[in-house]
Amino acid sequence: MSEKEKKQRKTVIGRFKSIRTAMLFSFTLIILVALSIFLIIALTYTENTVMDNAVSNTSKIIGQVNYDIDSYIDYMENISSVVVNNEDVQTVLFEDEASGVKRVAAEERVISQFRTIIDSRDDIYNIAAVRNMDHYVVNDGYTSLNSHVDIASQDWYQKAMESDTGISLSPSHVQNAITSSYKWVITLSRVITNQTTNVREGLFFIDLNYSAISNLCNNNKIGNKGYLYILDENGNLIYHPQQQLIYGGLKTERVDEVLECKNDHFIVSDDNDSKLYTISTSEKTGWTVVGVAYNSELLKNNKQTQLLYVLVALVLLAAVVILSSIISKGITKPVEDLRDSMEKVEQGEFDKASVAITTNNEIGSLSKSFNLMTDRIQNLMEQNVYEQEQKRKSEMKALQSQINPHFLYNTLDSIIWMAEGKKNEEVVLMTSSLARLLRQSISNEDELVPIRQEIDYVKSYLTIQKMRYKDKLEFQIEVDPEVEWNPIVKLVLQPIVENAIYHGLKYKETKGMLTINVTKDTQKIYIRIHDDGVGMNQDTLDHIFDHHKVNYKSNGVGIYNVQQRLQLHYGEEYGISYESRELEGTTATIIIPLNKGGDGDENE
Amino acid sequence: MKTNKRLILVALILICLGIGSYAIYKNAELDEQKSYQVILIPKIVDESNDFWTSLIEGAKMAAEENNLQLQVTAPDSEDAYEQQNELIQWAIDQKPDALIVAPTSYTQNSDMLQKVKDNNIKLVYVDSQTDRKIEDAAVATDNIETGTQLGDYAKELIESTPIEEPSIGIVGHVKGASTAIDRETGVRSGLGAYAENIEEVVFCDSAFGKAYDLTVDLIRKHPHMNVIVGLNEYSAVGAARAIKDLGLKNKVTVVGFDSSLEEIQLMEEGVFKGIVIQKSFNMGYLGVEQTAKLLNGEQVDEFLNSGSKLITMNNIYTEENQKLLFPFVGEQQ
Repeated sequence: MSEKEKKQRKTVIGRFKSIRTAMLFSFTLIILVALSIFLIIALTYTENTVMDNAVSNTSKIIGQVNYDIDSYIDYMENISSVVVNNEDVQTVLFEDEASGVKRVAAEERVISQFRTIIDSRDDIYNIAAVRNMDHYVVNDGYTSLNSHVDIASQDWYQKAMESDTGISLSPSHVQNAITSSYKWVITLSRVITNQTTNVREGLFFIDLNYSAISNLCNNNKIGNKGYLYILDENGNLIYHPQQQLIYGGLKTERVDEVLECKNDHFIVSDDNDSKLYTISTSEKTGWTVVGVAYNSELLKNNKQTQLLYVLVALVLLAAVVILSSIISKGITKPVEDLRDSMEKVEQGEFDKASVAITTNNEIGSLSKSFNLMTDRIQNLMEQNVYEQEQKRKSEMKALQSQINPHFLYNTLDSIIWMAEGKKNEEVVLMTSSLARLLRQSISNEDELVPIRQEIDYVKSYLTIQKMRYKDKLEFQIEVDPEVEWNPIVKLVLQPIVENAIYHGLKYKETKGMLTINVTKDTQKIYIRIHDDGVGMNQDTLDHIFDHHKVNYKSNGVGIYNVQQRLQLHYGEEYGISYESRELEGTTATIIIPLNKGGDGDENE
Repeated sequence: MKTNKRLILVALILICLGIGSYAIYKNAELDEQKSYQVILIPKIVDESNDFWTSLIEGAKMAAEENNLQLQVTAPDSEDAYEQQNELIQWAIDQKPDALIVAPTSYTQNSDMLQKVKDNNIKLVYVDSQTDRKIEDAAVATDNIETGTQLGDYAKELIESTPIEEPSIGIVGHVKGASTAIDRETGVRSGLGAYAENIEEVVFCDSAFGKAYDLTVDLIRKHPHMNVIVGLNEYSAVGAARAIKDLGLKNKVTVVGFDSSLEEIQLMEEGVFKGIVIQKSFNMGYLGVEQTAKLLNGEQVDEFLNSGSKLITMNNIYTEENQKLLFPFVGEQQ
C-alpha cells in the first residue's frame, strides 16, 4: 500500500523536467494547502468570535435599555403615587360637599403640581386625575376632556381598575380622551381610592410621549443601520423607529418570532443580509426590548480582518515561492553542475570535467567522488594510451628486428661458397648488400622511412636473393619519382617480397620475374608487388593474413604482422590486398595514404 | 530562463497586490452611494391640511431611507395650476434627477410636464394624474374605487336610516382635477340608482370658506337636501361645518373624503356619518420609493394604488383604524 503510494508519488515528482521545478512546485503546493487550512480555521474562528462578541455586546446594550426603561416607568410611578396620595386630589375629586373656596384652592394646588411636573419634563403630554366628566383635573386646568368619549370604557381605565396593584401601563394608542388632541401616547394609569369610602373611584393617568423612549432607543443603536424596538407582552408595538411605516402597512417587523423565541437572541436571514435579533424582556413592564443588528455591520471589522488575513497569506505565499526558488536553486545548482560535468565526461572532455565543490553535504561528497573518479579515469586512460604506445613500439621493434636467421645463415653460406670459388666481385656485392640490409634494419630508430629507402632495402634483399638463386630470379622496380620521399611504415615491403619468392617463384621451373611498381593517385599510393610464380590457391589466399602464418623457417615476419602494422598506423582502409591465380602469379598491393606537402618535413 | 522565472514571480506579487487593493477599493466603494436630487411639487403645503402634511412626511421619510435629496415646494392653493407650472419650470431649471408632482389640473399642466420628460427628468405622479400618460410611474388612491366605496356607503345609509326621498348634493374641490372627476364618477356608480337623486354638483376650489358658503347655498336652494358628499378635505370639512352651524346634523347626512383632526371631531360629534380616508403618508412614501427605484434602474409598476379605507363612527378607534387616522409622530411635541 505505502509502497504503491511511494511509487505513484515518485512518478508525480518524476514528471517534472528538473528537480528544481519539482521542489518549487511541491513547496508551493504544501504551503498553499497549509495556508488554506490556516486561513479557513482563522476565518471561521474570527467570525464565530466576532459573532459571539456581537451577541454579548448587544445583549448588554439591550439589557441596559430595558433597565433604563424600567427606571423611567418607576419614576413615573413615583410621580403617580405622589399625586394619588395627595389630599388635594382627594378633595377635588371626591369631596362633593366641600366648599367652593376649598375646592378651588385644592384644585389650584393640584394644577400647580401638574404644571410643575409638565414643565419639568418634556416627555409628558397629559397628566390628569379623573373621577368622571364633572370631577377632573387635566394639565393646566384649561384642557378639557373630550365630551364624546366615555373614559370608563377605555382600555387603560379598565385595566387599572381591574389590576391588583391599581397600576396599568397601556400599549401605544391614540389618546382621544382629551379634547382636540389625538396623539399617540403610552398611558400610565393608576387608580385613586376614595379615602373616605375606600373604593376605587378615580383614576390618575400620565400620557407619555415617545421622546424619552425614543431617545433611549436611538442613543443605544447598534451600528449605523441597527435599531431597537419595544413590544408589549401581547406583541403590540410600543415603540419602533419606523412605527408610522409599520402602522401604514409599508413595513413589517418580526413580532411572532420575538414572542416565540426562547433564547435571548436569534438570527434571521433576509434576501441580502442577515440580522441579529437580541431580546430582553422586563418583568416589571412586561415589555420586550428587541435590538436589531445587521450582521454585515457587525462583521465589517471581521471582513477587514479577513481581508488582512488573505493579503498576508498571499504575501506569504509569494515569499515562499521566492524563497523556495532561491533555496531549491542552491540545492540543485551543484547537482546541475555535476550533470553538466558528466555530460562532458560522456563526450570525453576529461580535463574540463572537474566540479567545483561548494557544499559539504551529500552532493559535496558526491562531487568529490566524481572528481576523484574522473581524475582516476583520466590517469588510467593516459596510462593506457602510453602503455599501448609502448607496446606498439616494442612490438614494432620486435617485428623489425626479426631478420630471418636462416636467411642470414644462407646468405653467409652463399658468401663463403662464393669466396671459396674466388668469386671476389660477387662476394663483394653480396656482402655489401647484406651489410646495407643489416644496417638499414637496425640503424633507423624512426618508425617511418621514405619509400625510396624502403625500396633500397628491398633492392639489397633482392640482390642477395638473385645471387643466391642465380638465374631463377629476375626483378624490376619502378617508382614514381614524385612519391620517392613519401614516408611509409618501415620494413613492410621486404616480407611481402620474401613471401613472393618463397611461395611463388621458388617453385617455378623457369626463371621468375618479380616486379615492384609504385604509383599514386590523388589520395593514395599503390605499391604493387607482382610475381609470375606458381600463384596461390584460394585456400592459401584466404588464410594469408592469419596469425599462425608466422613461419620462422622462411619468413620471420609474416603477412599478418605487416598488415597489422599498416592498419595500426594508417587505419582500416589501408593495408595489403592479394590477388592470385594458380600457375599465373600473385599480385600484392600495398595501399598507403599519399602524404601531400608534408613530404619535406618528414624527410628532414 | 532565470529572468523569465523572476518575471513570473514579480507578476505574481503584483497580481496579489492588485487583488488586495481592488478588494479594499471595493470595500470603500460600498460605503459611498450616489445621492439623487428629487423635487416634490404637491398641490399645496398647508399646515392645516393633514392630507398634504402627511403625504410630505411620508415622502421625506422615504427620501431619507433611500438616500435621496428631497426638496418640497408647492403653489399657494390647490387650484393654482399656473403657479404650479411656474414651479415645474423652476424645477426643470434645477436639473434634478426626478420630479414628483401632484398635478393640480387634469389638462392645464400637461404641456409643462411634457417639458420635464423632454429634459430627461424622471416624472412621477402622486395623488392626481393628467390627460397625457407621460409619467414614468404614478402613486395615487384609486379614486374611482374610493368614490364607489363612499357612494356605496351613502347608499347603505339611505337604505338603512331610511332616508325617504333622498336629495343629494356633491361638493367637489377643483373642477377639472383628475381626482375630482374620478371621485364623482365613483360616487355616482356607488350610489347606483340613487345617482339620479343628485341635485347639484358644486366646486369649492379647495377652500374651506367657499365650501361652507356653497353648502349653505345648496341647502337654501334645495331645502329638502338630506345627503351631502364632500370630495376632499376642504369640501367635506366646509360642508360639515355648514351643516353643523345650520343645526342640521341630524337631518342631513354628511359623508366625505380624507381625514383631519377636525373631520374626526366632527365625526365624534355626529356630523360626519362616514369618511373614506386615503393613505396619504403611504402615498408620499411610496411615491418617493418608486422614484428611487426608477433612478436605480429597477422596474416599477406604472400605477400603484396607495389604498383607502372607510371609517365610520363605530370603527374609528379600532387598533387598525387609529393607525391609519392618526399619523404617528413619536418624537414631536
